[in-house]
Amino acid sequence: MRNLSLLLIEDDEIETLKFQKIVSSISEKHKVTIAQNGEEALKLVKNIGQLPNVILLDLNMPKLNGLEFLKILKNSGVLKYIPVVILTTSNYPNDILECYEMGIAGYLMKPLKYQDYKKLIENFITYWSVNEFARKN
Amino acid sequence: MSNTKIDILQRALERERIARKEAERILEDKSRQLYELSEELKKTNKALQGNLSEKTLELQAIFDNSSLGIVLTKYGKIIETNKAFEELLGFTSEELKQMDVKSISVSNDYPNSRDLMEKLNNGIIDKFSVNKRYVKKDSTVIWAKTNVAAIRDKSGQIIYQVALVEDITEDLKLQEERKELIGDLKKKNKDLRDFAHIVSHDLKSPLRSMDTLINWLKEHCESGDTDNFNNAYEMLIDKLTKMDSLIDGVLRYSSIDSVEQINEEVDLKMLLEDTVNMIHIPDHIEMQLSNDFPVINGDFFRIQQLFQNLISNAIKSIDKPQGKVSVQYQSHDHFWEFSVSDNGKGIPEAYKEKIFEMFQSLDDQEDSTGVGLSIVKKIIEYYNGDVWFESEVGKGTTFYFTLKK
Repeated sequence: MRNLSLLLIEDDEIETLKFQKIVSSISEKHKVTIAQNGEEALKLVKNIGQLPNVILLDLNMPKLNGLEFLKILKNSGVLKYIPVVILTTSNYPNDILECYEMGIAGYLMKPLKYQDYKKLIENFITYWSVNEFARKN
Repeated sequence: MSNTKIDILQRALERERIARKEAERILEDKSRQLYELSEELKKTNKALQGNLSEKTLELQAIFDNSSLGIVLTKYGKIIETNKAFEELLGFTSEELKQMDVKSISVSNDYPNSRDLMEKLNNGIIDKFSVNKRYVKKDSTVIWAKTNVAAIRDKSGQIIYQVALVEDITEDLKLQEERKELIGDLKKKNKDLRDFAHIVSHDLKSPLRSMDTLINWLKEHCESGDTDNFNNAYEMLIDKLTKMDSLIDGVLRYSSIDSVEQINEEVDLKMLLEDTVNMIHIPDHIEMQLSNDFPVINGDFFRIQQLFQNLISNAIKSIDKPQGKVSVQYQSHDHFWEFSVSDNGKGIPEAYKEKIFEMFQSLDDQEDSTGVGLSIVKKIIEYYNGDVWFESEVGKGTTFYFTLKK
C-alpha cells in the first residue's frame, strides 16, 4: 500500500471538507490538495514540482469547468498521464460519454447519504493505493 | 406481191394489233389503280383532317381547363396565355399579350430566369424549372414553380417557349411554418434535456451537502463540540437558502414560455422606474436612466425580469468605491436596442458564451445561482431578439439587447 497524493478539484466548501475529513480518517499519510476550480488546479499542477497521483474532478464549477479542465489536461504532454476520476452529482449520459471520450480513469457518482459517500471514498483509496503510476523520466 | 409476202405482213399486223390491245389493257388497268389510289388518298386525307381538328380541340381543352398556368412566349414576349394563368395574376388575356415576361417578374428573380432562358434559346438546355415570383395586377407577389420548355421547328429554330406555372405560395408558407414548428420543437426538447441535466446536477449537490452537515451536527452534538456544531448549523442554513433560491430560479426560468402569452403595451419608463425601486441600490452606486424610453409591446412581467436581472448583475459586478450603472436605448428601423452598462470588474473574453448558460456563474459568491443571465437570454430569444456584451476586465461591462418593434 502506497501513500497517495490526491488533487481534489471542487468548488463546494462542504464537499472539500467532507473529502478531507474522510481521507484523513483512513490514513493521515495520504496527502490531499484542494483546488476550487480548473483554473486554480492548472496553476497548482504546473507550479508544484510533485504531481498528484490521482486527480478527482467535479464537473460543474465556476470559471474553467470540469470538462474544459479535462481537455487542457489531456492535451498536455506531462499532465495527461495523471489518472482523472470524475466525482460528481451528474449522471447525464452525455457528460459520462464525453468524459470517457477524453480519457478518464473512472466516473464516480456522489451518493446522497454521508455513510455511502464515506464507503465510496474508502474503496477509492483502497483501489488506488495498490496501483502503479506512470513516472516521467 | 406474192401470197407469202401478204401472209407475212398480215401476221405482223395481227401481232401489232394484239400488242396494242395488250398495252391498252395495261394502261386502263394502271389508270384504274391510280384512280383507286387517289380515292383512297382522298379518304385518308379527310380522316386525317378530322383527326387533326379533334386533336386540336383536345389540346385546346387541356390548355383552357388546366389548373396549371400555361404561357406561350417568344423571346420574352407573351404570345398566348390560358385561363388559369390569367386568373393567377388577375390580368386579362388581352392585357397579358401586350406584356413581356419581365414586367410580371420580380426584378430580383428576373436575371436568374433570363440566364436560363438564354441557355434554352442557344440550345444548351432543352427545359428548366425555377421557383420565381410573379407580380399580380394588384401588385401583390406570388411564388410559382415554373417549368419552361422550348418548342423548335425541324431546323432546331425556336418557335415558342412554353411555361407551366404552378402557384406554390401556400406550399412555401406551409413549409416555412413546418420548419418553424420543428425548430421550436427541437428547442423545447433541448430545454427539457437541459432541465433534466440541471436537476440532476445542481439541485442534488446541496442535498448531499445537507446530508453531510446533518451527520456532522450529530457527531458534534455527541462529542459536545459546540463551536463546530454552530458552524455546521450555519452552513446548513446557508445550503437551505441556496437550494431555495436555486429552485426559485429554475421555476422562474421554466415559466418564461409556459406562462400564457401576453401582449400589452409596456411603458418602459414606468417599468424601469418601478424596477429600480424594487432593487436595492447601495449608496455608492449611481443609477442613470435615459431621459425617455419607448412604449413597446410585450409582457410587463417578462420585460421587467429582463431589466431586473441585467441591472442587478451590473450592481453586483461593481468593485469600485464610486459605482455607475446606466440604462440607455437607441431606436433602429425594425428594432429597439437597449444597453445596460456598469463600471464593474468586467468579464473575461473566455466566458463569452458560457455566461448565458444555466447555472454558469463566474462568481464564487453564495448568492449567485447562475440563473439570471440564462433567464435574460431566454426572454430575449422569446421575443426574437439578440443579446451580447462588450467588456474590459477591470473597467466595466455593457450588455446590449434588441427587441423587435
